[in-house]
Amino acid sequence: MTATATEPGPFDPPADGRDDAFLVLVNSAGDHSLWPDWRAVPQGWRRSFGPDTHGACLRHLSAG
Amino acid sequence: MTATATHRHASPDTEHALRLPLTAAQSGMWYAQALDPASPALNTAECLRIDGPLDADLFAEALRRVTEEAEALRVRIEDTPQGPRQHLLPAVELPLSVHDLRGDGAERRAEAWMREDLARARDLSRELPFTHALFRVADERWLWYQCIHHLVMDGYGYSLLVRRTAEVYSALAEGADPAPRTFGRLAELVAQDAAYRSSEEFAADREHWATALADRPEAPRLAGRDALASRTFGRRTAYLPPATTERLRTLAEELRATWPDVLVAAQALYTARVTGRSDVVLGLPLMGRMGSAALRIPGMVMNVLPLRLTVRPSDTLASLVRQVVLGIRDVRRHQRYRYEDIRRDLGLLGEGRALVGPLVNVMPFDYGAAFAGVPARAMNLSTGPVDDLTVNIYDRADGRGLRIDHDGNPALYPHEALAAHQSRFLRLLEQLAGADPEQPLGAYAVASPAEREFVLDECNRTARELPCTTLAGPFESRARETPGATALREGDTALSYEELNARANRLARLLQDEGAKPGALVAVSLPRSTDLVVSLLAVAKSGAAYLPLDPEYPPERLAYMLDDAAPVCAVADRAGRLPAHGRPQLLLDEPGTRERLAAYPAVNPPRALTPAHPAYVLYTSGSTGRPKGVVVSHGAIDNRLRWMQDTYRLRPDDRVLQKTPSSFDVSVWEFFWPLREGATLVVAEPGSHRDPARLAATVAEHAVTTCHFVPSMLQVFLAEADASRCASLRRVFCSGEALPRETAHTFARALPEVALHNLYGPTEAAVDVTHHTCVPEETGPVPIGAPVWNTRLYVLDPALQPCPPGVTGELYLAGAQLADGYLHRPELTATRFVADPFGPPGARMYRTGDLARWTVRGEVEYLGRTDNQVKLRGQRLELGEVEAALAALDGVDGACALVREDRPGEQLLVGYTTGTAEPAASRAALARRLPEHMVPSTVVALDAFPLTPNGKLDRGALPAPVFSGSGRRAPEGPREEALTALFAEVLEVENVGPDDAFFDLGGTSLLAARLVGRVRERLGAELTIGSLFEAPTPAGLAVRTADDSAASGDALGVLLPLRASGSRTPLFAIHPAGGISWCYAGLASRLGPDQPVYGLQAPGLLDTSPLPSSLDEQAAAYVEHLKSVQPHGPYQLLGWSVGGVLAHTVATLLQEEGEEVGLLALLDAFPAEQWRERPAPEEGDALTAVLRMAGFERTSERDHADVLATLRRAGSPLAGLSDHTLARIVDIVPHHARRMREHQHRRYTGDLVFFTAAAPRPEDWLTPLAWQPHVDGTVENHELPCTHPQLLRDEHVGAIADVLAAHLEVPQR
Amino acid sequence: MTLTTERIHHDVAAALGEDPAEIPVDESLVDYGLDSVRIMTLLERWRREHGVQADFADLAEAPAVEAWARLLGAAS
Repeated sequence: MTATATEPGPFDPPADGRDDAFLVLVNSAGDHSLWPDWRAVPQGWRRSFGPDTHGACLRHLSAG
Repeated sequence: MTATATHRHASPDTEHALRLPLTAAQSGMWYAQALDPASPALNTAECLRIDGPLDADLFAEALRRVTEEAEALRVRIEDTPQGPRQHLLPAVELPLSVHDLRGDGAERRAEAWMREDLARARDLSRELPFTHALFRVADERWLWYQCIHHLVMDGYGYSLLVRRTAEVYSALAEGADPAPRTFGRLAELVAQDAAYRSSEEFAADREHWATALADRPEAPRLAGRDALASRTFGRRTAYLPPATTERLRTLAEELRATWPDVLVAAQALYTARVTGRSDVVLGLPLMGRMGSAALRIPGMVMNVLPLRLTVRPSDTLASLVRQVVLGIRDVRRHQRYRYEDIRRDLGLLGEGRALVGPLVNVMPFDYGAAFAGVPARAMNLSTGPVDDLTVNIYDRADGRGLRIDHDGNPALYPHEALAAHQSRFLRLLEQLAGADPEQPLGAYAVASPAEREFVLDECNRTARELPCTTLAGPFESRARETPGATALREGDTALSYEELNARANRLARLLQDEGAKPGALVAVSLPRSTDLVVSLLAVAKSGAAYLPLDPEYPPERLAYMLDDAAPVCAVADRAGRLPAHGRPQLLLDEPGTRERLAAYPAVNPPRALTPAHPAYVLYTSGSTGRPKGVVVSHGAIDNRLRWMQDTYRLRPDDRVLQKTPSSFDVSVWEFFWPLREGATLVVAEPGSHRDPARLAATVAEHAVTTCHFVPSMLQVFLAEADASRCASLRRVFCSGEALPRETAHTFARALPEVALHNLYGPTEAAVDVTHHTCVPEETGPVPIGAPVWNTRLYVLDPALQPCPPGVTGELYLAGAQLADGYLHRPELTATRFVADPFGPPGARMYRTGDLARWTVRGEVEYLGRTDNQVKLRGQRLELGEVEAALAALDGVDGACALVREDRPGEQLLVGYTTGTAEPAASRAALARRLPEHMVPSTVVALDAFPLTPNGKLDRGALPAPVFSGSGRRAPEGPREEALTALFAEVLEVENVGPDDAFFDLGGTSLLAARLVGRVRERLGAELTIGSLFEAPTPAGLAVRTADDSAASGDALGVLLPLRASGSRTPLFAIHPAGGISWCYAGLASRLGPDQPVYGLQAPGLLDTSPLPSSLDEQAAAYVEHLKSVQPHGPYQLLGWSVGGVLAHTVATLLQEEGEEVGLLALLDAFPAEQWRERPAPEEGDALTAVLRMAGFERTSERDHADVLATLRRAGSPLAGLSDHTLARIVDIVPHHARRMREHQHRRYTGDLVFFTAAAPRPEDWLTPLAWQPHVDGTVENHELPCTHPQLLRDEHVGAIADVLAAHLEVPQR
Repeated sequence: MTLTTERIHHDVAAALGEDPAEIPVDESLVDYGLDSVRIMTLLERWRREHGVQADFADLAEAPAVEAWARLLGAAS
């Protein structure tokens, strides 16, 4: 069987009961990126939203 | 009590008292040893270095006394019906050998002796469980070697023994009496253990462990897999520098912990990163003696407990260490419950069922021992068996810092791997010791700087400056350069570059008038054809991006895509191709359109197109139920095409096959690569990409040089099509699925001159981003390879740090080929195309969700998925989309979907629902909504979904679907019967009826190819996969194959025309023992369509005519039938088994009549006298023979009713025979055997062509030379590596056909 | 310097990362996280600073502050 139960990755909504924080980053070309709060922000990107929950970041991205 | 008293004659009481059961700890060791009695893995050993003077005799005396004091050493283990028992020996002879090795290489020689002794397994029923050796390696340097079997001693016990020995020796050296013995008795350990096992604490502990581990994760495996228990282990020793050790101690104190806690935390962090999991279970060996009398009893008490920890990148070292402290505290409360019992309770006994990952074994025992003032330094040689990886840590307080031994199972950790794990672990400790414990763990990287540089920089050196072109420009340049060259071929028609360009230009200008321009989308929905190529080129030339809409998709899905993508217009062939969508539609088949087109100039249209503009939008499956459009720019795809040309060098004389549907991104290079290089694009017929025979025909007809296969289709192609027809091929590309090594090997055998390239890439990265050229001699998984131009590959751990080579992580892609994103889905785009921490500022990377690892050679290997996206025959689908579609149906409460591989190599998409919906109706509803590859083969209705102890869906417990036919009516006629039986055989389904459709019974295209092959082999009928799609039932196929040559009417007459047509001299093939000649159908097929083949079958299969009374009589009857087909010679004869003897007889009869015999070929048939000595046959032999004919060995069938039942159950075509016929066969077999024994051979004049089944067999006296007395000519022998019944199997038939072809005559009539 | 019960209590609590008020003198220290490493650390320090003669097994046999005080002949 090929489907496996897996743990959430760094960009996935966290497992139940956790409130891990995420950011929304933006670069000079106007690209947006979801980003986990515990990882340093890469060069050429800056924080445009958050830290907030995964869901809040997604809503921000859909709206913008 | 004197120390040296020995009890020579034990009283009966004493004898009884001296026999004890084993403790649970000891039993665990006993069973481990019993699994592999010759394994020395349970020997533990230590070496103490004593640097100073030592009196060997006194030392021996001290040892003797300590041995007498430590009862646990003096045991013999015997196995009794009640289980193993330990027999405590009152006195033993001290197994001490003393060696004076002073001289060159003394220590080396001592070490060699120790290793050899350590590698010797002990038989505890016959020898003592311990050995001592004392080596004098210098005047004042001694090595004391102790080897004790783990069943009787653990590490703490060693420390007791060593300290006591030193104490006794030191006292004796002073001439004093040693302090009185303090060691407790073995019986106490046994009693303590028994008391625990019957206590309430025991029950509570069992309960605790069962609950704590009920939803445990898979045991973490640094090596990625389990291995069998090994007899040896590999060891790497390292020392953590004293300064670092100190910093770790200080850090531990600050965190209110001890240094072992920090080391356990470090190992948990390392393990979590290397296995990619946050939930890890480590093994914690505990001495288990706190507060117990066992503190003073040397023996085997220790236990290994599972320590479960969660390690996330967002955690800090401080919180992780706290978790460790509390976790260990919790473990200690229940530490008496044995590890073996925990495993048994969880159902994990047996090999390959691990509970814990690496063990962290911290040993801070009180070791200060001095021998009359001379200090001793201990060095461990073995701590016992190593299943996977054990990290042993010693603080011997000798100023050298911590000693760390990484012990690894050699089957899992070759030396370099063990060394790499150790050096990374040490580096991690250094990092942790010096850093702020409150920073997130995600900041730490496991790879060394050199490894990091390798995987990030060296492997990704792909930068290449390229000119800025698009899909349109290079084609237009080529059309200018070589206008007369052939651009396109479809069937009999060809278009030159000029013509193709002109047609595309006209359409492009028309599209521009309809609003097509850079940034706009044009939908294209056409079957594979010249018009499709023209349309795609036209869209590119207009500057717009094309959106392919597969004509085979359900209308609902097409409507969704049109609505979502909002193209400015659509191009189709005819009305009704697309659902109503309110946008301008250009229908190419309409005369009106053709008129409009003719009005436009055939000149390249102007357009303000740049590489940044979108080139195409392809929709892929979406996990929440809606498909999403991937937007790929010209720059991205141009990079890919330029790289492809530079790597594979297409020439103008190349011909590329267009066979991939336009909605699949592989088609992009099929369409656009040859046309920019002046080569020819050969357009395959629609639908033919599923039919191997038609593909092979197309390749042959058009001399195709280049084509693509999804690996599962390549497998089918190699198995079912005639690869020799594809000699024009120069290169084959595979992508879309993992390419199995066996397929690559099969390819290399079938097409040795053709290059096979394995490519990988998601739709989100301009078709492919990696490449690997297959090397035939290589083994192991086929890598996806190295990155293409201007592309970077990253394999990252859960903290988004680079994984070292060999460690699995998630694959991320960066560079010029990344798509722009998903159409109208900003939130989805931002979560999949994320910031790239390793590339230029502001760069993005795409997370593939694929698991992969780098090899040390700089290639990437693909290892599976992290999520629920699957590939089914190369097509990507999100299980979530299938689930969402199911859940949306009426009457469905819950839904889930799975790709199952219950039979190896057969993948099936299966849906599961709860609720009132009827599964067949659900499936039909999905077929109206989803593309064909996303429709489950079957839907299974459940009362409820199985759940894990946590309440989550337990996908592993979903039941395998059971396919069952309707069996509504019985098959009519032998052909329908045979086909129905073949369906049942290939599909492995019960109750198949002649009106059941192949694909409804779980058939896949792979199985379809197999069915077609079997029909050809067993019934001699030519069937294509296409015809199976068109007439998917046995009844339908029976009608279709009725006018083929083989098996017309009843197929059971004496003369069986396997192929009646052809201009060559016929070959007559005589039946084997069962009397039926169907087995020659495959041979007939291999001999080619011009070679007539007739089978001769035993009389009486259909009716009740009596069997001939001798082989001569039978042969004479066959001669009559031969002549009815071929009145005069030369005759060509073949026979297998008894058929060979008959063929020889027929040949002699013909010769006696003055006829010529041109060929006499025997398949493993031996003359009568070779059989005469054998016992007479019984019905049993006949039953065996009948089963063998069907390809089975006889197991429990007692009579012919049982045989019939077996044949029917197995779906053998022979089961389609009537009861009467089968009963006749059962009689015919012994009949032949008896007549054989009575037969007297005549002499044949001529040569014999013989085929020997050369696999070893019990009847080893059989030899083709036995024919020499009956043959006046040579015996030309060909050996085949198989057994007698296997001779006519697919694998060997080809070889036989080749030999025969050389002997068969060319047209005579 | 002689070892006092108070000293023992204090050092044990520190080793366990707790306040001495949280560590009852008559309870088994194992329940509070006492393990062999912590015993060895304490033992080594007490040997160094107070000349204690006991060995690991002595301490591990009855791991409680009061019991240790008795065993090590500590002054109250």
